[in-house]
Amino acid sequence: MAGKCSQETCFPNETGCNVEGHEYVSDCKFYNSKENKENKESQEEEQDILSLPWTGNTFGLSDLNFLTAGSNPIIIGVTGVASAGKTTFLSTLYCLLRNGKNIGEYKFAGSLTLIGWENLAWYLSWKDDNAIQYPPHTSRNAGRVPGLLHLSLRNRDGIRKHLIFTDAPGEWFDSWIYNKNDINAKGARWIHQNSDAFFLFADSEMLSGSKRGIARNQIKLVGDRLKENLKDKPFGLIWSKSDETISADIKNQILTYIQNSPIENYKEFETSVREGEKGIFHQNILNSIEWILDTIQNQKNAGLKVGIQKEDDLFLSKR
Amino acid sequence: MKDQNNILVIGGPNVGKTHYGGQLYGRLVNKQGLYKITSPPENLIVFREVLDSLSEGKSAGRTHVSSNEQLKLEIEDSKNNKVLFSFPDYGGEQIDKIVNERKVNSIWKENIDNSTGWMLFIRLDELKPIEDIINRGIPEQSVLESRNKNEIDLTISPTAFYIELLQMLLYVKGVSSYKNDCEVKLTVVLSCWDNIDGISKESKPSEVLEDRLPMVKQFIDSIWAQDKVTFIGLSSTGKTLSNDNVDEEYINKGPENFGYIVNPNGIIEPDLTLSISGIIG
Repeated sequence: MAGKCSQETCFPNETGCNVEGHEYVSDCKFYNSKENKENKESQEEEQDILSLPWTGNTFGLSDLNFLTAGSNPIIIGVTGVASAGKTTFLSTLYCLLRNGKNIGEYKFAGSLTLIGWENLAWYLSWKDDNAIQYPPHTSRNAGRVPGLLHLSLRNRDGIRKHLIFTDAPGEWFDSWIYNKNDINAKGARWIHQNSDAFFLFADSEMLSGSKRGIARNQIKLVGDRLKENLKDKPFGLIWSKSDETISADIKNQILTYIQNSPIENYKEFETSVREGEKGIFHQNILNSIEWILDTIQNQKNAGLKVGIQKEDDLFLSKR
Repeated sequence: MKDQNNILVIGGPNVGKTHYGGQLYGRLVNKQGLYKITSPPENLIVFREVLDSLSEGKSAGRTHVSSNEQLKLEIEDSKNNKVLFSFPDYGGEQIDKIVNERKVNSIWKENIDNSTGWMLFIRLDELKPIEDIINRGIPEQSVLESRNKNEIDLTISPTAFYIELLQMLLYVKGVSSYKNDCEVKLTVVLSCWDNIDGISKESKPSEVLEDRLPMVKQFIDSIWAQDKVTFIGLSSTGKTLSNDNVDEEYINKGPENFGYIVNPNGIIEPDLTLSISGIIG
């Protein structure tokens, strides 16, 4: 409950009447407009104002209702330990789309979290005073559910896809590695349980630096957790900051480890905020999303097998 | 039978809505274009200032922020098909307010509900181009570290501004964003066309929009089918007028002989009334 509505999932001041769906909040039976009688002016204003059911900022769980009421979004769990480049990856993705890039045959078709995306991209945009910087550390006080970023895509045939990306602090995964039930790992568990696809971030900069041993170990452990109950969900390994070179040894150890038990849908992508030769690192960001879309698209249940009882039955034998 | 067409002109401050309105009205009463007015409206107060200024060869002042007026006109085409259309006049700041405060008041709700076509004004020459890692890169880490890191508050990009504005209007109008079958016709007007950098005689308005605001173009294409959306360029006055100094040529020839649109094929047409043909045609 927030403000003057008695319903838990309603935030009338921000997103209007969520539960009953009234155009004007003051028409709702759950809305308590009496409290504020002394302030007549604001009351009049309330009656005159139509609020929108999304704030433009990063989604929380109750914001998802507006989207999921009409579509079945693909939730992409963006995982990896702190400063692995998860948020920078998402920012770069948005900047690419803003510059008109496509994801395979899919083009941009809207977003309910545009302000959230713009907030991320703001860091990677040049300001008036010539400032530009990497997105800062995603703070861990963000709560139990990660910030969710929405993206709607559409291909030439008019088929729409709604994607939700999780933007979570790396510390959640740090806690999750060592204790699945850690109180600080609640958000990581949410991502693991609810995502339809995963990206695991391996930070090339850390893997080539003095802490490469620890970094290698952490990536392996997050990988282990993700693989639990993975089934056929796509699992993409993202080599972030790929403009830094990692020793072949380290890279191979990680690869061998991740694949020590079979993963049905697995692929690697080398990405970076720097475009790389012929823009390959940027292109790989787009390709990774395309791969997830394609993989999920192609996942269909096996055809139904109908046993033919009467072989001379024309209707059953014609297939 | 009369078709009721309510055109909602949508544009922030200083994108040229008022000049357009005045010049369009001038063309309609002059009866040289495709669309003509059947009889002058009873109340012309909305256009009073702009008509006076243009006749004098000056640019008009800005519409008062809180102004909300409607001008209703009855016009007919060359085949005497009569069409009613209304033209609201308001301060462009109201559009900024809708996006920034995320609230739509009942006047706007009514305007949106009653509209059958939208003209979205985008003035590209006043938009700051986005410079980010994609088109300008990022310096080496060592360079970044040496810089002071002032936190500058987010200013949302024009791209996000226009997409969010359209998403909000579509929501209020009750248009599904799940398929591209929006019934409200849209004309995207690239105003002050003559001031846009790098425009050539071959430039088509849709391509210019795709080049400058590609994500906005993609969004529009995802909501409106091809036969429901038109992209045009517009120079209402044909040249830049000043607030104080009169333009003699303007006075002599009359404002109705200045200004043009650039049709979707990139061809210049002096008949400003063609700008509404995408919506009522």
